[in-house]
Amino acid sequence: MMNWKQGLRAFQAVVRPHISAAQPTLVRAKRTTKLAPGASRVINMVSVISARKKQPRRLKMCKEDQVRHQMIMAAWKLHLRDEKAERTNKLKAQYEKITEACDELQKLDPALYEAATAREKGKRFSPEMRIPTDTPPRQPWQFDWSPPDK
Amino acid sequence: MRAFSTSARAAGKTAVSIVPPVHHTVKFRKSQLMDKYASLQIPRSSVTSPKYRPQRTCQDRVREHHINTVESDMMLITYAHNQQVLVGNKPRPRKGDSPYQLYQPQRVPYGGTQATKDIKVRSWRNVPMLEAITINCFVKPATMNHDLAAAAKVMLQQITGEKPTSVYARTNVPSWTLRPGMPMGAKIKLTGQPMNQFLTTLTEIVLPRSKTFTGVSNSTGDQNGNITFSLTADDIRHFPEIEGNLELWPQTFAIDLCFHTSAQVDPEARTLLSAYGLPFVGKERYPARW
Amino acid sequence: MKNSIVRAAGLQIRNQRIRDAVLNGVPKTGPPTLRSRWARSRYVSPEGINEAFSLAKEIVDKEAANHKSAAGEVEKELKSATGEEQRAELAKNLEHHLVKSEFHNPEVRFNFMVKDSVDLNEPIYRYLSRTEWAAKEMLILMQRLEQHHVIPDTMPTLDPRAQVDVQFVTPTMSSFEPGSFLSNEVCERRPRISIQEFEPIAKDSLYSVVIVNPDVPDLENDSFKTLLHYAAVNIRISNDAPEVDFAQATELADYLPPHPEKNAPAQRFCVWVFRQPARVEGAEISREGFDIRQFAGANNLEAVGAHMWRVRYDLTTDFIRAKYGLGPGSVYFRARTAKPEEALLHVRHRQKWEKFVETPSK
Repeated sequence: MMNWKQGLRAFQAVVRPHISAAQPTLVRAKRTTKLAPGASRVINMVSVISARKKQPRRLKMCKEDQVRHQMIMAAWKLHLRDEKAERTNKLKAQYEKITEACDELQKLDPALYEAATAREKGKRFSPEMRIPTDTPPRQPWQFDWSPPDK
Repeated sequence: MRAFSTSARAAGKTAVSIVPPVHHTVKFRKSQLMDKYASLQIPRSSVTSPKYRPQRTCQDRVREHHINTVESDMMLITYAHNQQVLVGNKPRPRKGDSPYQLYQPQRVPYGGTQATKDIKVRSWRNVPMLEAITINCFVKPATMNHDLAAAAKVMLQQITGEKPTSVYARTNVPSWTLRPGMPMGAKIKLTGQPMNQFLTTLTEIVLPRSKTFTGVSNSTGDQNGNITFSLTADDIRHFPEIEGNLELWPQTFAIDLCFHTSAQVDPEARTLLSAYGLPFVGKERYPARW
Repeated sequence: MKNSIVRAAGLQIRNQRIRDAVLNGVPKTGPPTLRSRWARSRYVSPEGINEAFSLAKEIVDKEAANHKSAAGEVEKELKSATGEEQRAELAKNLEHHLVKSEFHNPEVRFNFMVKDSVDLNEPIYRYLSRTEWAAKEMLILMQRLEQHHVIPDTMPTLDPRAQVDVQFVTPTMSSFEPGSFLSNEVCERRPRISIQEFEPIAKDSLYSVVIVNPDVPDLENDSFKTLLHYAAVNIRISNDAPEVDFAQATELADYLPPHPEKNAPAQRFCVWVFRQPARVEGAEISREGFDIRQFAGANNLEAVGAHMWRVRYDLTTDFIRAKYGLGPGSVYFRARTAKPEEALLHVRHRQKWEKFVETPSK
């Protein structure tokens, strides 16, 4: 396991030309002089991979709040359970409808059924589809876009 | 077979039987009895546990997109009527007509050396979803300069926001000055919100600006629904965390990405990934059974 | 705060100030459970916990109400049910719903956390107590029973269902872990025993307690034999009254203090607790060569709990032997003689013993 000081040294090996001017000397006591802005950024970045960051400090609560927190977590679990059940039920209902429709089609028109249930190769979602966002770009949809010819 | 202390040596086992006769009706781990591990027995949902982590601390666009749109579409796309379980190629057991066969390995499957998985009936229970993204950064010049492996680790940390683990050389190749135990780079497996965050950064910021990336090859895939491709060192410079600090990054490193999906075959995994904005190029091949 | 569910008064927090703090949030004066004023004034609740709590309470109350109504239905069914198996199944189901209906109740959790007004007649407290016991103490008990071969040396096995606590009359009156070595003087008198049942049992259900020592040297057979140290039947136990009242019980054999012999291996004293289907009358037993399996089988006893301790010959053993008239005992040593029985009795020890009995000034 590498500690952050080793990490910093390693990191400087890569970025030496930029840092060499600042050359932070690492002292155990409280720092009196200010670090160069580049060096402090490097220390920030490297300290994230140090072992110390593995274990965040534990929250200390009084007994009342522990009990309250326990109930909140219990309610959260119940909420997740209900959410998942709702989602699964919806999917299940859709699946059953698909099955039902296919069965019906098979009875009505076998040729149409064959065409409808054939495995589609190379199926892709539309490349214009975007993951919805609260802050969409100014021009959300490029209507006149067409894929470049290969 | 349990051995007695006198006969164990002859049977090629440890001298003392470490399996006492078990009569009790209750199973336990030793850590449950030890005071020093008491805090590890607290359920991790309790705030007093050292393992406690808050969940869903921010909105997850990708997760919502999956639930609202992709999930039901994928169920419809992968639907096959009157499905049966397609049994995979399995190792063949020996006939057992000779006592020598007792300790012989099973015969390899027909038509190959590797067993293949069964393809189960697709239903609402196993709609394909993205489970994890593994990022692997292997730095060849780290044999000459060990510090590069640490720099690669910091780079992965910067672009994912999670803590990577180091990877070490395992083989000894004297002509490459490669010895076992040399730090050679870093890797990380992302799941949940950090994975989704990385995915959106990749598909919305990095890949559109890449000069070399034309799309994920349609021929990639490990036949179990895992899709792999790589980013060049120049592509990495488009990650906002790196781009904001470009003067600190005179050197970046290429990475390999593996998208682990729960799809049972590769074409379905590709369909799924296209819903998140990953383009695919090239000729696609389809497995014999799907 | 909405309180849509009617809860039993026994499930509430007794201290009104703490109750307010749990249900409505920590007051400005600080949490009442913190002792020092300094700590109270410094305490800050996590941000947003009050808002989250009131939202959570709605979800939890809804869940509790569902279980409550389910329990009501099961209870109705139970009244009309006739078959023995069906009744047992329904009773189990009822217990489940009753536990679940109070499972997330913060008042119950608080009471259980501080072990205040925990009424073992309530299913939820029985469930929580059992869970706590099963997480550690029960596992230690099972480990020791097996490690020291109490099972199968005495009874074949144990499905632990009741918490058995044994306390000897000492200045500290503390319980001990199963398998501990105790001084011979400590276990001189009959211990206090409590049998905590976690399953719902009828008031004054009948139990038996047997203490056996399977490690008495048996010279004739070059082996060990069992000695009965205590046996009592028809002990009345309820869920909320776990202490054994020996005055009300039928003692088949009064307490014989442990008196191990010098240089013999440590002796195990195994406490077995049995559930009785009915009163046991006129059971005849003998201390020497007591067969606990035969005793349990003959009286239809079902083992539900156990405990054990160990005693070696120590400084106080001779004193105990003299006090209760148990004789000098033997001294064992490595003998390389053709006639081991001649070497058994240590002459010097016999002389010392005679001196000891003559001048009991100790």
